Amino acid sequence: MVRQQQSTPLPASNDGADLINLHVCRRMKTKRVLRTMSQERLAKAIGISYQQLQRYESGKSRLPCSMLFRAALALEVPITYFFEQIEEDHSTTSELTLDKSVVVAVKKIQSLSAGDTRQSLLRLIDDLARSPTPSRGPA
Amino acid sequence: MASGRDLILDDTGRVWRTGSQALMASLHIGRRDYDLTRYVIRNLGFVRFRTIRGDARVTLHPRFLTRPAFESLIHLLVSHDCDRTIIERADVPNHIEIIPGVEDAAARLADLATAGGQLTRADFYREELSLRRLRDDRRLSALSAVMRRWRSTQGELRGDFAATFGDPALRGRAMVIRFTGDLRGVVEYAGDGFTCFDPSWRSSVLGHDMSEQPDPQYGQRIAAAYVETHIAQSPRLEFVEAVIRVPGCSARRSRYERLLLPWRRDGATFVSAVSVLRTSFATASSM
Repeated sequence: MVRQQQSTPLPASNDGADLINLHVCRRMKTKRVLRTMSQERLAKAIGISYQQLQRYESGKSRLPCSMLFRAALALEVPITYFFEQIEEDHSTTSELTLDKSVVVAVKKIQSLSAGDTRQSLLRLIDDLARSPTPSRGPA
Repeated sequence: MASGRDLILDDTGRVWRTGSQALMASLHIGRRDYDLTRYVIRNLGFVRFRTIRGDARVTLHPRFLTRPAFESLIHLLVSHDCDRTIIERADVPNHIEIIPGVEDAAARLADLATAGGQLTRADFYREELSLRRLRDDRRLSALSAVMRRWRSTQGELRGDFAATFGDPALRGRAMVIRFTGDLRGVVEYAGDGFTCFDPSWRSSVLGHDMSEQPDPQYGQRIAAAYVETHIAQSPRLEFVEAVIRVPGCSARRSRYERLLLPWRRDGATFVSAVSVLRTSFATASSM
């Protein structure tokens, strides 16, 4: 199965927050916590108050790119760090997002009557899924 | 916050749905005829992460926790913004630890994992915080009350120490140091809330040098802030994380905020410290 490329922007969440901004801010907070850095220290490094940093970390305010650049310097990470795992986070897990062809196949299986053919097909898929794969982790 | 998540983090930090076919395939397991989740946690260093009614529940074998899994776990805790983290250890049955806040949870998890040698955490860390936190953070309200008193008296100590530092809200976590001319500080008052020390310590420490604590190294390290406050003659709020080793007791890693204030009375100068404990746990190496 092939990971579907993200061809469209991530949508806004139900409460209107930009999911990309939220992801970036969470990555920033994660790295700050991992580096045992207080909000005060990071805020000072990027030239804002700790309250403003709190607003960024919670996703209540949009993080300007200038702040992001300074945060990358302060946290000693490449700026791309903040965007890593963005698809995985959006789909909750590292498991594969559904390939369009798989969705089409599922719809076709559902269209079959619940008889022997459909059951045989499901058993075949189940057997194939259980058979050992040569590599560890998703392809 | 999303509710009811049930995820597994593998030793590389990848996130899987608990019990999913994809996870089984990655482990080359064709048929699940045993408790796979329990097996991977106990033997492979995997971590289970669940969200239950606003809490995050983390099940792991700390000795096997890898750095990538730890980092991925912290990202999950940050992303789910849970009120509390409940840590369930596979190596200690029927034992849980409940920890508020992501940073406290990260500290505890890192400390537990040090036993496995894949993560390390410093024995002592302190950092100055903004005094505005006294106004913004309700958890620090007991410290705010002392700050208000300091402001209203303009740093003049009135009455005995218990009148100023015996507020039950402080839970006995107060110390007052009197400074002599050569920047030496002696203990004038110690509250009864320092439970990591022997009960007799409170009376025996009076009149002694401020760094003379049951853990001399810890004593030396925390004494520096008293001197800094005395020299600056200005309030100081700081966060402290310290491993405290008292002979005959388990070493404990404590995390707390403390407010240091300069005072004066009858020509003498004092520095008080009042603190609010965040967490205090026996360190992994002492368990």
